[in-house]
Amino acid sequence: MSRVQLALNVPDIDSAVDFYSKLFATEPNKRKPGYANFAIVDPPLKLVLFEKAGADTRLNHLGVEVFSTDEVVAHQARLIREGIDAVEENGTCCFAKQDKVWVDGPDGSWEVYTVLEDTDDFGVSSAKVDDQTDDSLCCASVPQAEARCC
Amino acid sequence: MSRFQLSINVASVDAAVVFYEKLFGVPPAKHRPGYANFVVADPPMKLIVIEGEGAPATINHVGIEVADTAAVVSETKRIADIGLPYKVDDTHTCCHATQDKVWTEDPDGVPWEIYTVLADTAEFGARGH
Repeated sequence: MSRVQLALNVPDIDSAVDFYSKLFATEPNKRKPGYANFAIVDPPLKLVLFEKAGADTRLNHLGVEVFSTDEVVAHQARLIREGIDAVEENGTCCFAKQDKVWVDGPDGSWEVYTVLEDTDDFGVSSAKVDDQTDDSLCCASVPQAEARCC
Repeated sequence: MSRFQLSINVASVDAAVVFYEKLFGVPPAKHRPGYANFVVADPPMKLIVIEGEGAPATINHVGIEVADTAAVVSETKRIADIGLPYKVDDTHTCCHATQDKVWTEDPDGVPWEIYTVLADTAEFGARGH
């Protein structure tokens, strides 16, 4: 069984972690400077928080978390059969080594991904890293650069 | 077990329906002018797409769908007890369904609803928030 991932931009990670810990009665699964995620059992949800003070929208990106690379590969094949370009992107992002594919919807991007192992470094998400040095969390550009951070 | 609800603003509901049918492999459970929802089993999710309410690719709202009114009541008590902001909606019709719900809001203004659907309706009803 997979679960939805909702990644939000928040101006203050501490206050957001406090709120979501209470809302879901769950402690963060991962807590790093400027980053947190919650693995919520009920409702099934991976909630991710990125501290991005200047973000002009609360939505960072959306995803479906699956629990093996085989499932990522199967989803990629299925999506390509459906005529949706599912772009493969493997590497370390968000303090975890991951296998994933990205698809562009008409109103934003979705990732289908699995976490292979945790890492101490944030890493980068995309094949092309954003050059902006003042925003180290923001990645570029497979397939929609500006709409998404890892 | 409750279910996560994601409601996003889209430029075109019809275009969004074509995409999400393919992404999740299920047709919409409800498809009306300017509105559609999908009941997705895997991953468990109620996905809603809404036209004309906000900039495309932004969150309209998010929510937690629970089984019955008793669960809405107990969640309302729980979030009140721990000091989260909340606003109880009386039973009303929204989004083509009669619902009981309570709203809260995260520190950055993202509205979360905890709700249960009592019955489907033909008309849209009031706006959700």
